[in-house]
Amino acid sequence: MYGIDMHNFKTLISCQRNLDFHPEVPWSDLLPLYCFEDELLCGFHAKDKTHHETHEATVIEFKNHNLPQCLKVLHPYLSFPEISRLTERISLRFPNHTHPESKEWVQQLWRLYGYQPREDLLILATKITALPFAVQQWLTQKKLAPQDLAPLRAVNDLNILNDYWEILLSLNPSKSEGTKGIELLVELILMGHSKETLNTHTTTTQSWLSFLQSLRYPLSTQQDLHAESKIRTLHWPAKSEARWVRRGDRSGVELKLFFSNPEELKINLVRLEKISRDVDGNNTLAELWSKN
Amino acid sequence: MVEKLISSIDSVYIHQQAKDAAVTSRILSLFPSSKIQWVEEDSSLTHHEGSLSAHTYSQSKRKLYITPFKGQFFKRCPGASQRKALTCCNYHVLNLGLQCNMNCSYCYLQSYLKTPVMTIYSNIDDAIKELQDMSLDHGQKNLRVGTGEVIDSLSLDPLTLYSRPLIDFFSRQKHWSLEFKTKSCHVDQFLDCDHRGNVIVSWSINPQEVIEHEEHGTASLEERLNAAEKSVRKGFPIAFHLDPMIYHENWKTNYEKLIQTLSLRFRNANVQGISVGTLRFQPEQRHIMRERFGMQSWVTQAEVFPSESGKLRYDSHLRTTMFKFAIDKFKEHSPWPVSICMETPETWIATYEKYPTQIQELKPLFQPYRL
Repeated sequence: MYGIDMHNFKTLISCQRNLDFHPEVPWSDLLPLYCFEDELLCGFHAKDKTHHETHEATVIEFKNHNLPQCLKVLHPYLSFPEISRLTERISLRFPNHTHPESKEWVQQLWRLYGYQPREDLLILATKITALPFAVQQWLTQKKLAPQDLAPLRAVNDLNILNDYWEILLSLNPSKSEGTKGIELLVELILMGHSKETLNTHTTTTQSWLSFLQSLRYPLSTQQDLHAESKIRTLHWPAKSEARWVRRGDRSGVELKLFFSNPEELKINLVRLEKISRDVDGNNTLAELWSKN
Repeated sequence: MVEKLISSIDSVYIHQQAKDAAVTSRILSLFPSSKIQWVEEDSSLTHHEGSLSAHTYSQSKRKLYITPFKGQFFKRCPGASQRKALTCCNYHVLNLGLQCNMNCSYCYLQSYLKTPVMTIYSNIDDAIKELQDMSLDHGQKNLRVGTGEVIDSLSLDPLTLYSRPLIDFFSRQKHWSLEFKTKSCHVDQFLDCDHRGNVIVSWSINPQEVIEHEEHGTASLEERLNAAEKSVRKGFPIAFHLDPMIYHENWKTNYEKLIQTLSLRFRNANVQGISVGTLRFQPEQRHIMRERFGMQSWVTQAEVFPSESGKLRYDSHLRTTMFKFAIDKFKEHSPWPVSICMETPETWIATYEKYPTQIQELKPLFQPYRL
């Protein structure tokens, strides 16, 4: 398919580098360079080589293929930030008014890489390119998908997040933790929380997320803490562990009980029955199951 | 009223196949020709790759599309298909269009619609024929039908006048009832119709504070209540849906005031029922809501969590508290039966200490049956 008769040859000096989208995977020096028309498609940093060599270097020009197909061959996988940058480069290099086909190229390119060229995602892509490059790299590294970044669609100016990227990058959370953290941050900022409120000295991702969660869900957090403290006042059976936990929209007591013989079980059940009576007869405890 | 609707719509697209429909004649007589465009293929107009963006979704409310519907107009309420997770009443829906011209922040259509236009189905005659056929087999059953699932029943009715042939059809049904569910105040267009008392005009209501904050472009509470009073005067039974109840700082005061107002103003009216529901929405809907309404909305700010049915809901204890509060206040002030909409068995038990089928007044609504 890609035989010699399908290609032309050019020199590197005759090529442009407008499509340099900073791919994460570096182009190997062992591989030839490729171009589409006069645009280099890979090895964008080739000029860093010896000046003389580079200018003389031969570049293979794709013939009889369109731009998206060529890019897909050269860069088999692109993360969302990468395709966002590439889309931006294509739009700048081949603007609609001079290249009406470029819109179709972008759509085809996105489909080739498994991204749906939906209007909302194309808008998101333009926002992603405005993020600091280190953040884009982190998004790529953690393989965050467009749906993970949906909260960013609500932010007109992503610069408002600049104060918080440092925390994110330093904690280096997992994909799911990072996704959650970004959503919480976006919501809290849009709710009007200030930098002073949101900045916290934390060393673990878990404590950072808990901190943001407590700001975003203040009533539930307060109720859960209150319930937890009440639960601790009850006389639970020996060798048991009781705690207030949230499971989705429901919260309640999770009890772990250990017994090694039927007698211990009986004793434990008596203790639990007493707790049940205490809860019934104590309004404060009963209110744990009824919130305002 | 009609003028306001006309000015809220930028473009009207009419499918060639709808050219002979009565609604088309009416639309052509109401709208300036500059707003009308005839289309032969609906794919370019209605096709949209994936979900709508916030902008396209908002714009869809300003583009009206008149076209025949080729599918089935009549179906069961979606709640009935989630019987494992939800306890739902027996309700059927008749869809005569798609999308709504109002803008409630919590509207579930935001996660549901994929077409960038507001659609009115031109073949109301086919819908009525479908009902007619159904009535031959099931006319003896107590069937409740609503037209407000994916479109407000009455907000565009001054343009379509679909209420009139529907009221006419139901006037010949002994056992069926029809519900127009709305957040508008548009009732004048059908109040002169003869009916047999089985067409219920119902309002989704909330305190004015919630309406102003979350139900953009809808009628005010006072306008809705005035429309309800007009309907009562013409003998139409009415119903109210406190749904979704939305938690906010003064929720108790505001909901109590609303319940008192309803009880006082409609004490002697034929109120068929009250339903209450709390805020709920599909998880993916939070993104478009955030984009369209920001984070100062009581809906986007809500502390909601994944529930068993998959939707995000308030904490179950808070839901029970809200339901109990509303039900107690209704009990204090009115004789009306109150049911809970789209809720889990656990919430029914926590609120009523019973399943709905164990509550005498609600039993007929929840008794399962098949068509």
